[in-house]
Amino acid sequence: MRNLISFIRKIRFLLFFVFLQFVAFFFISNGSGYQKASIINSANELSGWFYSKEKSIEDYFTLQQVNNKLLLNNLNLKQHSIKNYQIISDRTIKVEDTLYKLQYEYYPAQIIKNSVSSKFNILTLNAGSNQGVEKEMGVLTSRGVVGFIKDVSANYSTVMPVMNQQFRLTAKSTKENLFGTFLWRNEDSFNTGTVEKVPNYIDLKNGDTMVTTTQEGIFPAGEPLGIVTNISEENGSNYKTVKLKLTNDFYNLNHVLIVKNILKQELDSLNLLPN
Amino acid sequence: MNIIVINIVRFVLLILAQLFVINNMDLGAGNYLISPIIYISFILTFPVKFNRYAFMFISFMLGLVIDLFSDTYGVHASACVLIAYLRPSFTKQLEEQASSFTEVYNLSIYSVDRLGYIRYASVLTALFLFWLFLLEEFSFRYLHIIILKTVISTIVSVLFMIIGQFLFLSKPKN
Repeated sequence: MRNLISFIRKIRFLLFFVFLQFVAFFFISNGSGYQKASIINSANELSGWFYSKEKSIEDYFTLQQVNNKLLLNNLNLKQHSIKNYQIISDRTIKVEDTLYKLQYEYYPAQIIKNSVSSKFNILTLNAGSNQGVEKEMGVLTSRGVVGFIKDVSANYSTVMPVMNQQFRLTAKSTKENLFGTFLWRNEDSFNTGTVEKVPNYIDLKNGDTMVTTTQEGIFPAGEPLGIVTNISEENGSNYKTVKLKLTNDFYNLNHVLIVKNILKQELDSLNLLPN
Repeated sequence: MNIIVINIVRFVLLILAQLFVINNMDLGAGNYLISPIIYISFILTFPVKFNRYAFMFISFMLGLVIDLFSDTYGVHASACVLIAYLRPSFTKQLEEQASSFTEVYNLSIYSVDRLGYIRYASVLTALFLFWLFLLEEFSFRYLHIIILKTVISTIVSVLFMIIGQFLFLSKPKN
């Protein structure tokens, strides 16, 4: 017994080292994973405060770019305004339309921490549960998909972006209604994505746009993901692999929209039913 | 100034410099191969005769703060603890080389001979980065890339840390 105690005393520094490593590995295994909640994440008040201060300084340097983007966006909206259309017949009357029911709500947010150089990039937004953000909401810009919400705190949230190896989403081409799996590989060059398991008989050409589907219940249908740049077919396989150029430039992300699917809970409750 | 105050200030400043200056550097295509780490300069320069348990715990917290800011879960904490555990065996060698080894002052490039210090810093930085990249990857599939990244990033990191010490540390008066 005395020998045992003296042995433990001898290796207690090693034991302390192993203990701290164990704690670190606990955090790692807790956080990494497709949709796991991580204990250590940047959606906390401390890092949120620092990153939003940094962002407020940085904002001054990108004002012109942001203004130009807003101008283009406004132009696009203006083009769709009802004022631009001439009334063809004044016999028609307006009725309350009950055919449509609101399914998607949008919240504004700003990216306060961006990262593009790692394999497991995570972004931080300055909107949290106080602003109505919940886990697994979609994140978009006017140009296309950014990612979905991973962790949420009171005033901040983190995003699993498209440029993360753990990101998965079903994608389809604008022309046909057949799906493939969108993912991002580190071997891909910058701003390039991959769509796997696209059935061979689908007619695809370079320059086609791949868009989101409503499969996951995260995004509205038809949000652009990327433009096809390369199609490779393997011999003997029924599927082809498609390379995309992402429509969003992840270096210059700033303002984003968070999408809430109001019917998501209903959808999930159906999917969870046992067969 | 008190050695504890100096190290608290260094702790905060190195974290801020790492997160808001070094991590914002745009190296273009080099982003994938070069990820300079300077905050471990805190571990490298920490007073040698300090309680080693406390030192390892402080290193753990240092890594954890970086993890908290950069969404790496616990990877930096693990790597910091590793080099904090291994450091005593390397400082022993330095102690033998140096004649005037002050236990109060931090272990900077001024306190021992330059070449020895650079060797000591390079070895620990390389171990740190190798462990860091390996944990990020969590597989041996891209071992060759990990080793390449480790070599390049070590050279850049040590260069930054040595330049930083020449710029911000004053020569201790004997």
